Amino acid sequence: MREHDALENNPQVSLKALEALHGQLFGWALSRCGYDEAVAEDLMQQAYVEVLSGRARFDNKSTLKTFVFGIVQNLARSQFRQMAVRLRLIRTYTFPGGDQHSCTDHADHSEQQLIWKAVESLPQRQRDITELVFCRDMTIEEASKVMGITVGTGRVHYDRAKKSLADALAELRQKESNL
Amino acid sequence: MSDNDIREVVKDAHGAVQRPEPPAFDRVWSAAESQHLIERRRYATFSGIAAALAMVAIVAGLWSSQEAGMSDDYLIADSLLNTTQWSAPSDALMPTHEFDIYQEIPFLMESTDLEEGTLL
Repeated sequence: MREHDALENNPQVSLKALEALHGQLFGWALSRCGYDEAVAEDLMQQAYVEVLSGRARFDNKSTLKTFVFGIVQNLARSQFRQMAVRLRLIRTYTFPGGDQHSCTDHADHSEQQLIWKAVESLPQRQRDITELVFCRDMTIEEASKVMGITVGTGRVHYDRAKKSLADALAELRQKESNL
Repeated sequence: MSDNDIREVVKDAHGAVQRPEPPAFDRVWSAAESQHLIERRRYATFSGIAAALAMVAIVAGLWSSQEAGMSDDYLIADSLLNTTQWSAPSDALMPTHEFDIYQEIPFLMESTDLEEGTLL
């Protein structure tokens, strides 16, 4: 099936479908590069180049969302790894002592921010699968595909993340009830 | 706490966290298109240069083999048939000389003395 706004080198991908995913993809790109807007935009641009050139080809084996999220994940893993390390180093020396990992304003410790902080304190893969499944409405299978891991491994990370979050939330509730 | 509860709580927390607005799709897409165009042009340029270099290498190879061919000694059948002498174009082509003791030793010996009726 070829749509009228399908891409030349990726006939299964339509521009409108990509545009619909743009906001979510930006959120995912942000979390891939330490919430740096400029790097996230570069990452998305590079992902679109991959789709445009046909180097990444969509063959309807997964959803388009899984496909583009996977491209961003792979690009972030390969090209932006060194950049992220450099950015982290710059931030460490430019703003010493500050938690620069998130764009959240930690001066205001509302409950929701504390919960999100608990998510961010999870190990990388647990954090990724939590974000993909809970916040991006993906199934564990889709999330595992994006992360480039097997479904079994994905389930293990998901279960561990859930347990850690349940503990963290219980602890938060406990603190609230004590206050 | 059930799975759904955790999901709802985390989703709410994710939604509540302030995040920057995504850049306009058109802007990112057009930047991607121009980058793609630049990459294609660069690829075409490199391919052109590589093809030109390959052509130069082939032409140079052919020319040098022609040069070498002109200096080669060819055997001309007529002149070879009209003479009783022939020398190989190059010693390198000649087989290694092996001494034949039965054929060559009698001629090399200069003795004319007979030994029991046989020339040594």
